[in-house]
Amino acid sequence: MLKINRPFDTNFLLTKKQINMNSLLSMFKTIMILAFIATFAACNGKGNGNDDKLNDSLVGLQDIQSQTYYLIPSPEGLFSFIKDGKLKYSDAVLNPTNNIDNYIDTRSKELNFGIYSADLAYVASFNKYQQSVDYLNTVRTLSDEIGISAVFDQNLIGRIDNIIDDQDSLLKVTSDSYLSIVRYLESSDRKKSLALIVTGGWVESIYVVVNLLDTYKQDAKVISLLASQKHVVSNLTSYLEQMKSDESIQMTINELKPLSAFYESLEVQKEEPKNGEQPKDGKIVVGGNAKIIMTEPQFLTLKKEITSVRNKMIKKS
Amino acid sequence: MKMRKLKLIVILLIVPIAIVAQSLDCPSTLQMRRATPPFTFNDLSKSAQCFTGKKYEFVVPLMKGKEYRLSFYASPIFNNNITFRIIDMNSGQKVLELPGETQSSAKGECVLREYFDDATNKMIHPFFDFYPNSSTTLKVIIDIAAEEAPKTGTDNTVQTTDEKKKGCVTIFIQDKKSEELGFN
Repeated sequence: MLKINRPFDTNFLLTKKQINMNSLLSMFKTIMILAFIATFAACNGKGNGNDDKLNDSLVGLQDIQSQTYYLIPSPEGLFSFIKDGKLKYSDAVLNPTNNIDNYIDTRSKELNFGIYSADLAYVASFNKYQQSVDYLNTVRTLSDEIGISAVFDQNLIGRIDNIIDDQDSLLKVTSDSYLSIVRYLESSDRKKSLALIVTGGWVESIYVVVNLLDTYKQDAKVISLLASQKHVVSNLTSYLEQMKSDESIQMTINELKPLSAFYESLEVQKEEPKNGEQPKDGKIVVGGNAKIIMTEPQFLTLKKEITSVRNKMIKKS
Repeated sequence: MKMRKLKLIVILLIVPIAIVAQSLDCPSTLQMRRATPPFTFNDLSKSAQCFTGKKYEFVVPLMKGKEYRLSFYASPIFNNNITFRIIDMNSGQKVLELPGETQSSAKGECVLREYFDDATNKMIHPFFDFYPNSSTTLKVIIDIAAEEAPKTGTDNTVQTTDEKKKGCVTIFIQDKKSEELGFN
């Protein structure tokens, strides 16, 4: 029985070896094909088949000789000014965390991710521990829904969990979370998501600052800060314009139009420029002496316009 | 069955490596930068993937009431063949125009190459301090030289090639509250 089967067994063994060789060959081929595809995908910036990445790489191809980056300050950057302005704290200016269920489409989720991030920066800058945890959890939940939960790695979650009632670490963690999100979106080439998040963050920051002001004082630091946002709005609009072929970005540009028009209407009083002529201790003096003027009626207009834009963004989608 | 598992493992290992090897994660390089007190990290800082032979513009809003320190870093692949120009958009004036490096690379001569500082007895990476008299926007124009073609003849003319090399260019921004004046 064994003798009869031996040749068969030998053949069987040979066949198995051949099969193994064929498998290895086929595996090698598969790897080479996948590596080839991956190489092309990486070169073209279309790696994950994401529409965002695809369109962005097409935009990049059209504008091959030069590229412009418009930089927008984070909410934390803006709130660092209001801490000095001795503005009061108010829950009423925040987007309630239970509104999170209202946001169904991606655009609303991304805009409100920015809005909640700004609210988080605001409550953290006032050292409101419980509110910070609530808003951080809301931001984490939304991050999961827009596919950026990877930002909240074990290290960051550990830092969040270990926050004691300490303003510096609270601010540091919220600021680091925001920066991690920006870096993550930039690294993964999700420019449109980043644009919507940044827009939501900026709109909410200005909404909060404007609504914390009881009275207008022409020479108040906060009024100067709000007026100087003329430069930021210009950057934000140009930044969004780079992606206007996308419907959700175009919709956002349209929503921001009254605000852009308002800021364009602000008068700039110019004196003789002194740029680069009188460096102080090696500092390069810039800005000339151009002061952006915001009168009381204009401040009230800003309050009306920013409230209208922000309320459109936080309503149910 | 074992072969299938092995196949799957190998694919899962090789494909991400191939993808990562082709792309540059410039934004993450910002994490390497540390602010020098009394300055703090400003989140307008940006690190972007750039190509030889291309021009990049970074539009940076600066607020009155703060002082800013800008420094620049570039991947070695560019050999510091980069020129930097900064324009103050309020006045339209050019406030800085320097190459990545010069032969002596003395203080104030270039943007990318470190110089020896006698006062501190240390090598210092160049930085530029900006004081906004009023809120303004700076346009930072970064021109990366095209790749030089290998010389074939005896003439000394420099020829460029269509080949594009990529690397990261970083604008590292620090700020502090202005000492000299308040917000207004």
